[in-house]
Amino acid sequence: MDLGYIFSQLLMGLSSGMVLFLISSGLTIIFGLLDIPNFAHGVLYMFGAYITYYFVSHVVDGGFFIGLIAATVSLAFLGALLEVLPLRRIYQSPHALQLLMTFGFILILEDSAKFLWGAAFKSTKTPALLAGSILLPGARDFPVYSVFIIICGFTVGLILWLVLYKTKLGKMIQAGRSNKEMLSALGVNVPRLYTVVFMIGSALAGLAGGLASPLIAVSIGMGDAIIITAFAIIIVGGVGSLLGAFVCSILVGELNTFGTHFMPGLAMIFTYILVIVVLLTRPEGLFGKKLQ
Amino acid sequence: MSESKPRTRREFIKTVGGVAALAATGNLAIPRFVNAKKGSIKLGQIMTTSGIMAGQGIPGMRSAKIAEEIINKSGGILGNKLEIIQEDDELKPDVGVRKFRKLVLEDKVDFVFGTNSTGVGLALVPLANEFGKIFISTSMGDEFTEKNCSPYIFRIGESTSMASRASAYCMCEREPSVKKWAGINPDYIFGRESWAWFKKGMEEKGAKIEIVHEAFAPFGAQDFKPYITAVIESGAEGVFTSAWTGDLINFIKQAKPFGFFDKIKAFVNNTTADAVAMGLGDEMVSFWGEARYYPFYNKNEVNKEFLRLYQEKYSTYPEADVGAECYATVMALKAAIEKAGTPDTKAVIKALEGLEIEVPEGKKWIRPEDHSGIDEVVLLGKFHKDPKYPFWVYDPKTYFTVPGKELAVPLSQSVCKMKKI
Repeated sequence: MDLGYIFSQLLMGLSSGMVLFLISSGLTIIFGLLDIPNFAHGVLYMFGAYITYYFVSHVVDGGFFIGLIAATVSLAFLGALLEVLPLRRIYQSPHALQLLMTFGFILILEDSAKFLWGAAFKSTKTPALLAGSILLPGARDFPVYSVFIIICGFTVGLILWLVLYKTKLGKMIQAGRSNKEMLSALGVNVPRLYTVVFMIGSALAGLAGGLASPLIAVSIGMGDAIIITAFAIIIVGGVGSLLGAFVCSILVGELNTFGTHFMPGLAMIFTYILVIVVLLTRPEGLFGKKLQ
Repeated sequence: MSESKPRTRREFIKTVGGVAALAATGNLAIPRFVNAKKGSIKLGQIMTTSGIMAGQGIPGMRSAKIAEEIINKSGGILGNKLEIIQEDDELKPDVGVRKFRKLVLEDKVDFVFGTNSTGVGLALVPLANEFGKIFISTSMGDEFTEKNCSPYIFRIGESTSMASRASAYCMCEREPSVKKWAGINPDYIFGRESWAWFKKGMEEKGAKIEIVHEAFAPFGAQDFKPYITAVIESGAEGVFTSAWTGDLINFIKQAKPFGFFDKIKAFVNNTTADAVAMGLGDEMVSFWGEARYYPFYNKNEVNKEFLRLYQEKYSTYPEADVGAECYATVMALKAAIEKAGTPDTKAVIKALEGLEIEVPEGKKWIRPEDHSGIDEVVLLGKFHKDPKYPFWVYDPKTYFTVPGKELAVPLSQSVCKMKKI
């Protein structure tokens, strides 16, 4: 294993981490403010992938990019629908009930996807602009699409950071995490804020699904495959922490990539060992706020 | 604080007694009518219809429903209506076990068949034996007719060893210049055995090959890129994989940008390659595939009818080969029940042994000694683009066949010691 190979694997881990970040960023924002563990996040991601697939297979030029926008926007609306109608009625309920409701969303949305697109695997073609590979220093091929994912991940991260720390909306979200009552007393429409946050989280899930779709088979169960990893990442990173989601996604991406070379069967173990260690030593997560 | 204890001892005994009585009626061997006519004959089917492998289970369910319709339209089985009750195993052995119990104890099915995954199917074997119900496996594990063989257990189609050895024979004959081989296989019983049998198949043909790399990826892995780059690093010329449908689609999609299919001279897959071609559409690449049923190979009437009905009802070709295996299972049971003149389990077992039927994949024969379903041939082909179809198909000029009887484990080497019941 020479340096050139190690470098290519580092980049691969980074790209795989960026996909995880796109998924977990939405999850952590929702969990952070609304205090809802949104298990339906995986099916929202799945829906984003299917919508992107639809545009890729029906629109010849630029179908993929139109599909990404469509996935992001329509998932924002779907998120609004889910939040306004059923979800907001159970904010005060115990977590178990909230889990049940989001699980209900999963069943409804999975069946809807089955009805709309059928059960066979679908595949989204990588857009011609992003197909092919580049040659890295060290003479290894690296897919152009993976470079695109890295760029998208960093861009989305930057935009989210700007929104959270440099806009009024962001300040309201952060304030709401520590004291919802005070926020309401200051005249902020908290229910509408919640809706907006759920929309943002859902839109991110949709975008993640769309971006992931050229890489993996689009199937009804694709959300189930990543939701646990996403939760592991936000637990380790700290619920509600954007930086935590970013750093831990990269960490998990690299662990999976390098773990495959050293211990192929057990690569996933590293992530879960990390979860256990963090829960035992620093339960609020690496970047989370200390629990009161 | 809620009162959870029953108020009086009498109530407690009533509750326990009631539960015990219910349990006992479920487990008692209810005397079966030896008489044929009893209203309806019930089949339980367990497949994976949710999660990442739903694309494999649903064709199985659909094909069984088509068989059910055909049979009922022509008068049922011995004048009894056929009813197929379908359950999802979620690709989990414990869920499969729970559904098996439900089908037998609550739905009172006469026979059970199914599973997509060998892992789940094997978990059902002890239950079939315990309840004394025929279980026909539509998954590929050799164990059903070897280590775990029993009078109640059948496997309807090709086994892992048959498909893997056929793949090796095909490579020996069609890609003899490929000497350096790598194996990327899913990390569970099917993946490990496929790879072992592929290597053995190569040995059987005396091929002088070198294994330069082997790795086992988690079943359902989303990210194959580290495995792909490791294979390229190893300098492999040929790659064998038993990754199936979703996994294989992911592998191919992720491997293409690396120029994988230009760097590797031969790529062979030992199962459900047809589902991969349908899933990838025009992203498909050319490789050698194997499937237990290939829609365009056999031109018999049964196949034409099956394809016509599938197209009519679902507007597509069967999405996975296991669909035809499920169809064959239902037809085999019908034939056996009619031959036995009764749905009684023992009689049907005898009737299934040695049964030969014509199904969409051709002639199928159930070997009496170990209950292996053996097809006329095991087929491989190399994919190419054909404008007549919306997905890549085998180039008919590349068809490679091995007679099923040649590939089945010779009885002299079989570890199956079938008990008599």
